[in-house]
Amino acid sequence: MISDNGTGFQYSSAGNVPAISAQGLRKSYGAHEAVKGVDILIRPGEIVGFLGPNGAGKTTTIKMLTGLLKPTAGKAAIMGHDIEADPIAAKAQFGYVPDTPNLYGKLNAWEFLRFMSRLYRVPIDQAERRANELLRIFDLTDAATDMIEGYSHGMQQKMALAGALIHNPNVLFLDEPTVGLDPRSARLIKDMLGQLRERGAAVFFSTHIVEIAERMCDRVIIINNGAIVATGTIAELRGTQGQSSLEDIFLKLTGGAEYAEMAEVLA
Amino acid sequence: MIADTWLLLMLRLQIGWNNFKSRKLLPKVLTVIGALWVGGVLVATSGVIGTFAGVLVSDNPDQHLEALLPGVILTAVTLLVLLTSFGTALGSLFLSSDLELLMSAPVNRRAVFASKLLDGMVWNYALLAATALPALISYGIAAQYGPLYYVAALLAVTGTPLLPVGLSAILVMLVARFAPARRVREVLGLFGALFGISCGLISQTSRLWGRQIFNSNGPATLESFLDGLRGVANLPIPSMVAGHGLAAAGVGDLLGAGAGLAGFFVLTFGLFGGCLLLAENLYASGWVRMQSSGSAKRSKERAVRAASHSGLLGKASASMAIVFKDWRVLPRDLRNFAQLFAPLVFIPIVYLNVLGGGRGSRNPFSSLTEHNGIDPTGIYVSAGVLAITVLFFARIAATSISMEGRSWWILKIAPITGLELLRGKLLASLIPFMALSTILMIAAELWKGFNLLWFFYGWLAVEVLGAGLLAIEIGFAVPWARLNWDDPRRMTSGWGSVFAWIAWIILGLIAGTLFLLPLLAQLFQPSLVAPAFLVGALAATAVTVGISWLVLAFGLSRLSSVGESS
Repeated sequence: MISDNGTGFQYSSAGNVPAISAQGLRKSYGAHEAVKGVDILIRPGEIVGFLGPNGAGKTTTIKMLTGLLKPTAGKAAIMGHDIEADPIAAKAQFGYVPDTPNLYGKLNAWEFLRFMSRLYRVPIDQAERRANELLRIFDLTDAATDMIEGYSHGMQQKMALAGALIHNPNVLFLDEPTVGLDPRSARLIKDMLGQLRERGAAVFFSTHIVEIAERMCDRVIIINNGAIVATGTIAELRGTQGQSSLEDIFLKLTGGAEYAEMAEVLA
Repeated sequence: MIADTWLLLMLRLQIGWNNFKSRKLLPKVLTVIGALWVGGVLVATSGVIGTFAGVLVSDNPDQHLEALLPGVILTAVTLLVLLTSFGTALGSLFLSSDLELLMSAPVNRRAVFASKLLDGMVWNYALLAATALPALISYGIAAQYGPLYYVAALLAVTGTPLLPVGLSAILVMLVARFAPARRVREVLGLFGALFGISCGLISQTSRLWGRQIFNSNGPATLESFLDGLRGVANLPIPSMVAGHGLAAAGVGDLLGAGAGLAGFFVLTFGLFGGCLLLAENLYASGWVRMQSSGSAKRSKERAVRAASHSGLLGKASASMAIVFKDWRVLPRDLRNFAQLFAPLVFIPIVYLNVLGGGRGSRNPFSSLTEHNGIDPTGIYVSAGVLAITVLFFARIAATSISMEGRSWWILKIAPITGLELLRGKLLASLIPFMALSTILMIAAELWKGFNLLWFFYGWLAVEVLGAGLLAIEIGFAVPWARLNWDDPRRMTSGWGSVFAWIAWIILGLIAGTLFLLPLLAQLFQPSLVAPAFLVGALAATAVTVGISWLVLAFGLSRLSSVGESS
C-alpha cells in the first residue's frame, strides 16, 4: 500500500514491511573489518536499543543504515526502500540525530528548521506549524533567533532532534541520544520516543549506557567487535543468558568481566 | 616554574611535529617548498630594505640616521610579531581544549599560562630570522660596521618577541572581556585578509603613487618622513633603545652598546613580566568572559518576527533552499567571507594592463585593430568584467562542498538528488555573479557608450563563459572536498585547483576564440560579420555547455563518496 505523509514523498506503510532491515552489512577499512556481516530487522512501532562497548561498530552500522557510509557488502532498506538503490525514497522515511550534533552554527533555529523542511519537502504551512511546535516542546523558543553556534551541547542536541522530526519520519535513528543532556531533556527524549512508538514509528538508537536501554527499549541488539552477539527482549535475553540484569548480560557478552577485574585492581 | 614551562613548551613542539609527520608525503613536501619560498622572499625583501637603509646612512652622514634605522627595523618587526601573537594568544587561551586540563594538573599555574603565551615562539623566531636578521645584517654590511654590531644585532633579535607576546596577552584579555573569542577570531581573520589585500593593492599600484609622491616634491617629502622617524627614535620604546645600542656597536663603542642593550633587556623583561602577571590575574580572577561563543541578546520582538516570516528560505525548492542557506552562512562567517576578497588584488592588474589604465600598457590586439579602424575597448571591458567577477565568485564555487564542513551529513542523508544539490551549489555563486557582471557591463556601457549590438554580445559572452567557469569549479570541488577544516584557508585542495585551472584554460581558449568570431570577421571578411555573431554565440555556448557538463558529471559521479573518510 502506498500513501503520502504530507511531505510530498510517498512511502509504503504496509504492516508487514519492516521499518529497518539489513542483511550481511559489512564495512572494512583496509584489512580492518569494523562491521562483520550484520543482520537487523526492526518492525514499525518498535523501540530498539543498539548496545555495545566503545568501538564495537554501533556508529558505523548506523551510518551504513542511513546512507552516510557505503557498505563494503550487504544491503539495507528503510520501509522497504533500498538505501543504495532507491536512496531518495529511503531517506525521506527517516530522521537521524548523530552523536555529535554538527549543525550549521551560523544559522539560527528558525532558519535551520526551515532549511530542513525544504530539504524534506514539508508543505510550507505544515512546516511552520511543526517548527513552532518543536521549538516549544524542546524549550528553544526563546533562543530561536540566536545562532546555533552559541547553543550549549544539550541545546544543539535538541536542535538536531527537532530537525530530524520536522518531517514526521517513520523511522528515527539516534546515535547516543542522551550524551550531554540534562535529566529533564533526557526525560523529554524518552517521552518523545514513546509517542513516536504510539504512532507507529520505529526508533533505533545506540547507547553504551545499559540502564537507558533497559528503561526505554522493547528490544535490544548487542554488538561486539563488529558482530551481533545477542538480540531479543530483555526477558528473552535473561532467559537465554541466565543473568539477572541487562548489565550482567552485557558484560558477559562483551567481555566486561575483564573490566570488573580491572576495577578491583584499581580499588 | 621554568622546568614546568619548558616541559609544556616541549609538549607543544611534539604535538606540532606529530601533526606534520602524520601528513601524507606530498602535502609535507609542498609545505616545506612553500615555507622555503615564503622564507626566501622575506629574506630577500628584508635584505634589500636593510641594504637600502645602510647605503642611506653611509651616503648621508649629516642626517644622523645611525641610531634611527636599526631601531625602526626592530620596531617594525615588533609590530609584526604583535599581530601574529594576538592570534596565537587568542587561540591558546580561549579556543584550545587543553587549558582546563593543564590548569587542573599539579604543575605551576603560571607555567601553564607562560607556555600558552610562548606557544607561537618558534614561529616568531622563524619570522624574525626571515625579516629582522637579514635586514640588520645587510644594513651592517652596507654601513660597513664591525663584528661587535652583529653580536649585538643577534642579541637584540633574541629579545624582541617577548614584549609583543606579553602585550598581545593583555590585548586578548581586553578584547575577550567584551566579545566572544570565536567572533574575535573571525574579525581577526577578516582584518588579516583585508590587510593582505591592502598590501597587494599598494604593491600593485606602487608605480602610480610612487611616481606621484617622489616626482612632485621628492626631497621635501623624504625629509619630513625622516623628521617624523627622528621623533620616534627618542621614545623609551625597547626596540628604539636597542637601536641606540646597535648604532654604538656599529662604531665599536662597547660601553654604549652594552648600555643600549642592557636598557633594552631591562625594559623588555620588565614589561613582559608585568604583562604576564597582569594577564594571568585577569584570567584567573574571571574578569574576562570565559565563553568562546557569545549568547546573543534575546528579543521577544525579534523572535515573534522570525516566527511569523518564513522568508524565501521557508518557501524555496530544495535547490534554492541550499542557495539561501549558503547566502546566510557565508557572510556570517567572517573568516570565510574574507577569503572572497582575495581576488580584489587582481583589479589593479586588470585596470593597468588590460583596460589600459597604466602608462605604456599596450593591449594585445591594439596594433591589429587600430590599423583596421576597430575600437577594441569593448572586448577589454568584457574581459575585465569577466576576470574580476569570476575570480570573486569562483571562491564560493570552489569551496561550495567544503564549506558544509562537519555539517555535510545533513545534506548527505537528505532526500535530495545529487543534481539538486549541485544545482543549488552552482546557483549560489552563479546568481550573484550574473547580477554583479550585468551591473558592471551596464555601467561600462553608460560610461563608454558602445554599439548596442556589441554590448549585448559582450554581455552574453561574459555570462556564458562565467557560468561555464563556475560550473567547472563546482564539478572539481566535489572529489577534493575537505570537510575537516577549522581554518577556511584549508578548504580548497591543490589538486582540485590545478584541474579547475586546466579546464578553465581549455574552455577559455576554445569558447573565447569562438566568441571573437565577429571581430575576426570584421578584420578579414566584413561581409560575414552578421552570421559570425550568430555562429560565434551558438558555437561558444555549445562548447561551454559541453565542457561544463562533462566536469559537472564527473563531480556528480563522486558526490556519494564525499565524507566517507572524514
